[in-house]
Amino acid sequence: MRRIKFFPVLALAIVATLLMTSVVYAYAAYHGNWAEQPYWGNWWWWNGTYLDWDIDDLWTQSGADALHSGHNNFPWKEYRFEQEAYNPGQATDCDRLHAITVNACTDPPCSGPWTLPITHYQRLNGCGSDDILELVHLELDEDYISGDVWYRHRVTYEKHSPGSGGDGEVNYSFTHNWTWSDSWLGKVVYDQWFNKKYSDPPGLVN
Amino acid sequence: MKNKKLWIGITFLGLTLMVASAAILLRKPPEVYAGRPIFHGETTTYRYSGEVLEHTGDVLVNVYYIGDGDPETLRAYREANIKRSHALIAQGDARLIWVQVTFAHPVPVAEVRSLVEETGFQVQDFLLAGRNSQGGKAWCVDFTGDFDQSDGFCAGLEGIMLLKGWVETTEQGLGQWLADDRVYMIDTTAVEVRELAAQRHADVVTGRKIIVGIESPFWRLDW
Repeated sequence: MRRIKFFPVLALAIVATLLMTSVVYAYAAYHGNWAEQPYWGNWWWWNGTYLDWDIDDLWTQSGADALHSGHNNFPWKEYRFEQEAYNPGQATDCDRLHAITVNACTDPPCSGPWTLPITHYQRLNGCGSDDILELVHLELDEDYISGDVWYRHRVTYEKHSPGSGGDGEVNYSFTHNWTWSDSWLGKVVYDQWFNKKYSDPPGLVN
Repeated sequence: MKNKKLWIGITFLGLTLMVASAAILLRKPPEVYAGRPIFHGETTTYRYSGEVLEHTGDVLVNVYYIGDGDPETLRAYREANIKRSHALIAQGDARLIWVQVTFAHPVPVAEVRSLVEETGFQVQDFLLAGRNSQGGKAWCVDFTGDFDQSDGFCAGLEGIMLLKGWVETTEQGLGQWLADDRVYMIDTTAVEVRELAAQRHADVVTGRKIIVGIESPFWRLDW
């Protein structure tokens, strides 16, 4: 009798484990429709003394080919990520997160994905006070991006005025130097204590 | 008859308006009319792109190598930097200028700190490079510019590969960096590209804060 009960419990445990695993390693197709942009994204949100926002990007093979082609043919586009710890559309959620480091594949956070190849980085004021810099640009070394490979980096922020200001959001975009627009890839919405609430697209953030 | 004259007049006016509109649109790149102004330019050794940042109104000018930094164009770019740096020192006005230093290999933090102190270099930020436990390349940018902090946020990396900041155009300042074998390139292009932006793109940059960003070949060097 006891043996008969054991197997359903075991099956349930296996299903539960599989479900939990699928939640922990969530990833999603990015928004935006540029041929040159990464197709998949996989983010982590670590809310501790500092706020760590980890990003994994994956180009499909055709995406990587488009990236190389755009960079190596006239007008020789220079592509970059814009990691915006605010709402760039409305210029809101300014001065809540101040970038202090960008980290690519040290130990931790890296344990598999490749190091993002860049030629240049820049920390800028996205909006609000000049003393709190919430915008990070990462200029890609396009020729070193391969298809079907995960590239990881982490931006660490100081948190400002926790407990006030209500919900906020951070955004991630892809652009190049020959356009005034960009391809919006996704965002995370967080609460007044910087805990993540949800991502857009859903399932992007772990 | 009256109607015919009226139609000829309307047609002529329409054509004049079309020609005038085309002339205005072709005078400047179409991006200017799309919202955020952007501009581009080129010299013999580099290309640059400028844009007005959306919410601050600051102008960001990024400098890129011609030919994607292939050895020949990179050599020409480095030589132009050396010439410009010597010319700046020769002016003798001991100006504080913004520069970007790329090291040939990762240099230990203690060594860079000594060089910074000897030359009166004012650090903005720096990038450390090295290998992770799996043998892959790893890098970490410390925006605090504090050498003591780098043990915390960017611990475990071999040394500094990229350094941004300000140095005086003197033999003791810029001159020492030029002469140091550990330095692959001290980039003074920011001085020149600011002047070019002010001359060639005055309609966009006048009255605005200009921020310069410059490519570095650090990823392709030996580390």
